[in-house]
This record gives sequence, C-alpha cells and structure tokens, in this order.
Amino acid sequence: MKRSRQKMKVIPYSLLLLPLCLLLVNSCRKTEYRTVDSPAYIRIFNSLNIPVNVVNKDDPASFLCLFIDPEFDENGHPIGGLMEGDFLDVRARYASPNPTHVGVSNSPYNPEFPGKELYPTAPILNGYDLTNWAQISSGKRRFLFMHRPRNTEPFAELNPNMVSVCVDTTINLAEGEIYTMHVLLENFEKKTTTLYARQESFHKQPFADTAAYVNFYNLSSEGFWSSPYKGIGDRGTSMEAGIPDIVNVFFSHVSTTENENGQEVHAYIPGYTKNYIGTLTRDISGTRVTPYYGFPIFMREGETIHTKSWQFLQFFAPSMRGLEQSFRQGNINYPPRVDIRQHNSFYNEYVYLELTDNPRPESNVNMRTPVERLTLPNLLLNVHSGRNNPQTFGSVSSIEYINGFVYLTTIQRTFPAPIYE
Amino acid sequence: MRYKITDMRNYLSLLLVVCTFHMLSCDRQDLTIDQERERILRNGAEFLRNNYDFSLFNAAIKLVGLDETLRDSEGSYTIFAPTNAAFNAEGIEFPSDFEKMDRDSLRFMLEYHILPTAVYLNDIGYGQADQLQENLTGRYLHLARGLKQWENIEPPFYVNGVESKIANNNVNLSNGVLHGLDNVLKYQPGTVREYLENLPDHGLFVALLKHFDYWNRIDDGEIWTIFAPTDQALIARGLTAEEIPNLNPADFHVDILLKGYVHSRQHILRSDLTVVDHLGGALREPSPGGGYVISLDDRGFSLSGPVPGVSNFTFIRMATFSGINQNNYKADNGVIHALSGMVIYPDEARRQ
Repeated sequence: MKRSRQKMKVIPYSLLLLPLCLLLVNSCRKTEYRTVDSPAYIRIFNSLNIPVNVVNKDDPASFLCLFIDPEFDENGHPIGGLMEGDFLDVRARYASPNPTHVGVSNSPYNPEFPGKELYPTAPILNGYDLTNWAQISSGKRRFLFMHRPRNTEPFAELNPNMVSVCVDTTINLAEGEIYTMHVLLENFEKKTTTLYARQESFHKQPFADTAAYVNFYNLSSEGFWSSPYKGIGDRGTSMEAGIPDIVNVFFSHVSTTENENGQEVHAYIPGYTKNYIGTLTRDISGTRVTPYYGFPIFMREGETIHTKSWQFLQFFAPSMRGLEQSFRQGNINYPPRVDIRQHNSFYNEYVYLELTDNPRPESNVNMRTPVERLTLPNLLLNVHSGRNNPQTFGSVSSIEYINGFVYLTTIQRTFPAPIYE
Repeated sequence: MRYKITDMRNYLSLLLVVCTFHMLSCDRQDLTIDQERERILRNGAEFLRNNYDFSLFNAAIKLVGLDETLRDSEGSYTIFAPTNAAFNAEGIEFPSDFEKMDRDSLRFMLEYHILPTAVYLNDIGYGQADQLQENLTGRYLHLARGLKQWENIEPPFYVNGVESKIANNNVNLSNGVLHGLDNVLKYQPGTVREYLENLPDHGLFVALLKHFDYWNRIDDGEIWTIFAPTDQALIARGLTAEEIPNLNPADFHVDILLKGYVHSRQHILRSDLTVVDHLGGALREPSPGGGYVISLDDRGFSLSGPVPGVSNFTFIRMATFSGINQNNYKADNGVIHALSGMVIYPDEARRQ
C-alpha cells in the first residue's frame, strides 16, 4: 500500500516536469536589436495649429500620417516605407527634455515624431539627452505627410478618399546631425504647407553646465499677423493678437523668496530686469539657428543646489521703442489679468510670457472677460538628482512662436540619477 | 488523515497537469463569425426594400431606377437615406407623391444622397466640420462629427448639417454602408441668391435686401451664410410687400438692420455648433473693434454686438430657427437657414 502511494507520488512529479519544460521552451525569446547605419537624428512636430473655425472648417484636419521614403500601392496610395508615424497630432505647448510620451498615455494620438513611435532613439550626444530624436539613415530622404481624419482608425484601414497630401518633400540629412522639423502653414491666406527643417547646433556650442540658454523663433505663416481672421489663436491670453514679424525681446529674472508670514514674494533680480536680448524676426526658411541667450542660475540666498527663480519675457513691437523700461502692468507679485483686446493701443504690439512652474494667482483687475495668463514651464529644471531633491539644472531651450501660440522645447544635459534613501 | 492529504496533493498535481495540457491543446484558429456575417449581408437595394423606415426613399429609388445601381455587387456605395419621417416633414406622405415630381430632378436629388465609395463611421474624424466627399452627382457633401469627449459616448454625425442618428447609421451592406438621415438633404445647383429667390417663404426678405441695395453685395464669387427671416417674421414687424418699397434707405442704419443675416466667407451649417464651437472656433464676423458675434444653438441664432447709443457690446436678441427642416439649404456658394423672427427691428435701426 505504502509502495503504491510512493509510486503515485513519483509519477505526478515527473509529469509536472513535462509542462515545466514546455513552459520553459515557450518562454524563450530572441531579441534582434535594430541598428541604423550612419544615422542622422530627427524630431518632427505638427505645427498646423490653427483651430477649427467657421472660416477654415473646409480645410483638411491638422492630423497627419508621416511616411519617410514611402512605398505606394498600384493606386498611388502610400502603404509604408522606411519609417511611418501615424496619428501625428498638433504639437503640445511644452516639449519636455525627457521622453514623456512613451508609456504614460493610452491615446494613440502622437504629439510629435518619434514620440510614441518605437524607433531607435538618438544616443547621448556631447552630454545632451536626445531620446526625443529618432535615428534615421542619413542621406536624401523623402518626407510625405498625409492629412487624415482625426480618429483612431489606422491609416491603412481608412477609406483612401478621406486622406490627402499635406507635404511631400525631400531633405538631405547629414550624418550625425540633429534636425528639428515642423510641418508649417507657409501662407495663411493661400493655406500652403511646408516642411521646415532646422539643423541644430546646440551640441557643438561651448555651453556652460552652470548656465541656462534659450533662443527664439517666429515660425508664423506669411500674412498671419495682418489677417483679420487671426484672432482665433491663443484666445483669452495676451497672445491672441499674435506678435508682429519683427519684435524686440526683453528678458527679466524674478527671484522667489518667502517673507516672515511665509508668503511668497517675487522680485526682479537687479541687473537682470528688462534686458534687451535680441530681435525676433519671422523666418520659416529653416536655414538659421538663432543666437542663444545665456543666463546664470540664480541660487536662493544661502543655497547652492536649488532655486525657485523664474523668467518673465516681453515682446515689444518696434513701434514701442523707448517705452519698454517704463512699461508697467501691475506688480510682479500680483500679475495683472490683462485682456489685450481691451488695450486697443497695445493690441498687436505687446505680448508677455511667464516661464514658471508655479503660476501665481492673478490680481483682480476689473475686466469683463476672464483671461488666463500665458505661462510655460521654467527654463530652470528642478529635478531629483543624486541625494538632492530637488536640484536645479540649466537647460538649452527654444521658444517657438507659431501663429498665435507659443511653444517651449527644452533639452537637458544628462544628470546623476536620483538616489532614494 | 495524513494519507488523505497526500492523496489530495496527488490529485491536485494531476489536475494541474491536465489543465496545462488542456491549455496547450487549445485550438486558436480565428473565429469565423466574419464569414457567417458575410453571407447574410444584403446589398443596398435589398436592405432598403426590406426596411419599413426607409420605404419612401426606397420607392423613390425604384421609381428612377437607381435600385439597379445599388444592387451592383461589384460597386461600393455610401447611402445617406432619409427616414420616412424626414420625407413626411417635406410633405411627402405616400410613394405615389414621387410620381408627381419631375423624374430628372428626383433622380438628381437621390443621387445627391449617394457616394460612390463606402465611408464608414470609423473613416470620419472627430471634431471635424467639413470632410468633403464627392457624391454621384459630382457635388461634395460635408461630413462632420463632433468632438469625442467621453470614451463611451459617440459624438453625433452629420451630413450637410443633418444628423444621422447613432441607432440608424453605419449599417453594413454587401456593397457599402447606409446611414439613416433625420432630414432630406436640400441642395439646389446655382448660387445662394438663386436658391433664396426660389424658396417659397422668403420673398419679402429678398425684396428687403434688394430695396436696401444689399442684394448686390451677395457676390456670387464668394461663400455666404444667409439667415433668412420668413415672410411671416417680416410681416410681424410691419415689413409687408406694400410697406417695403415705401421705406427710405437713407432713414436707416442699413448695416445694423441687415448685416447680422448675411455673412461672407463662411458657410455655417446647423451642425457647426457641435463640431466647431466646442473647439474654440468663433462663430463670428471677424472685424476687430466692432463686429457682431453670432451664436448658434439648438433653438436658433442670436446676435450680440454694438447697439448705437446703448452699449459697445451686448446681447441683442435671439431669432429662433423656423421649423426643424427649414435650414441647411445648400447652394454652390453657401447655405441658407430660415428664421422665425428678426434680431434687429426696423425701428431700432432707424436713424434718429
């Protein structure tokens, strides 16, 4: 009796071994890493950002499918290619230095390319984290952008009558170079589109680790600023009217401290207030990287690691020359709720922008229309690094103004990984 | 007791083994539901013939011989089929009513409702107003779909401003797809002025536009939206056929009286409220410094703007749409919607 029971014990265990082996064999995986020979690095934004309104509602959607070196079926309909980026949506206001889009969203809509697309990303280049750029074989590449309906149906399954060509162009990509590209509206009235490709130079410039850098682009369409139909951009902010094709940029730095009551106090930093830093000219040729303006990281008094200081930008039309220093709007501690439409004298001529991670409550100015202030994230990045939480790092950023909207792209150097204790 | 537990363990082990083999032995062939459905799909003509809700549309299709086209198994069609209720609203109650109509016009009207390609609901973008698709007459239909705001709620779908209800659309056919429509699509080839003159209920409005020299401003080369008060609405404000010729245009702020009804460069369909306005698109006459803002909603058309001597900018009045089917009249260069009232009364526009 005992023996047979032992036998019973032996048989099931040997039988168990068999499925285990089966599972072991099934779990094997071979990984083939993709490599790109002599790569260039590309990052593409869909900047067709004009909101749908009664005047332009006939236009195809600003929702794209990208084919690089496309292949076509017998009807001339694109079916694939070297790279493909479907669901390319209008870009987000902030393009952060880390790959935020992969893994944290359940929407197929992609605010940039590569964004959520799984292509090999660029390596760390001269200390810069370029995971938002995709690797692509250098040389002549054809870029085909197709307008497609804004829905979740993959491009290949859409009715071919519902799609149309947006941009079809060829660009020569040099090995090892970094390109930032935009699909832009070239002419506001004629509604022509173009692909803007800027060969970046930040990784070749002698930038200090202890400073932050920013440059500016005006990538607006020809005829946008003077069009009566433009008032549909950043509605309710001072950007609504847009900025003229030539503006002077003034930069201020604001320190944040606490007073004895624990309230935050914001103050312009002496010597770094309303500094003229350059003239911004509309240019969509893509041939030029505009000069970077560098500024030191103003640490808080008694601190060496962290600061809460932020930046205040003002764009003045040349017609306001001489008025810039005396131009006042409220107090920096209580920023005014400015409805630029009520200030007819400044409509089209003045725009301000706050770069801060903590937008402050607005002062209660008696205005009929509720107006939000125009705010973008800080150019100084406060992140957990090593044992410091937070630690302030400088960045290399580009502020791009496009047809009534303003966008910030920030690139960060690599930094020590956080240590959790 | 101890032995029993051991036995149980043995049986459990055996069960595990059996389960593993059971899992591995699953036949994972694709389900064949698609093929089953393929056999029962009907073509467009058959579907219409067997659906009571589209019996009037079917009668019209048969009358002009389009049923043979929709039976074509090689073809691919999108049928925008007005329901019987939609035809009833136009005064068509019986299949015999179609026989009184001009056969060619009827055929044109029906072909206007059919696309020579299958456009499923999935092909149409969310939050897009005018997704143009060429129909059998070579004209373009404006397909629109609201913005998807909630995961489980499908936004409404419109054709030329007419809603196709969720329960009634995206019907698979063996040769395409069918979308039921709540209203008949109204289209007349030619200009918006010609259409307005041909509409039965707007003669006084046309006379008013002509008398105040506004008629010639409606340039045939441009796109227009015209909100046309009905004759009844004008008579209610004293603007009768006898009275209009007696008015002296010099006594009126003509722009204030008429500008709100006539909008250039835009063709606003009823559906644009859902599709365009929610996206922050402005339904307004864009003239910085003193334009009118018009707002559309389910009830009608309201006007805000400057009132002389009163305010720089204020809500003025709402004029409701006239009837559920007296709007979205589409011409080649614009759209007409009938209003049951005026937004500015003649006395309010009179020069002091």
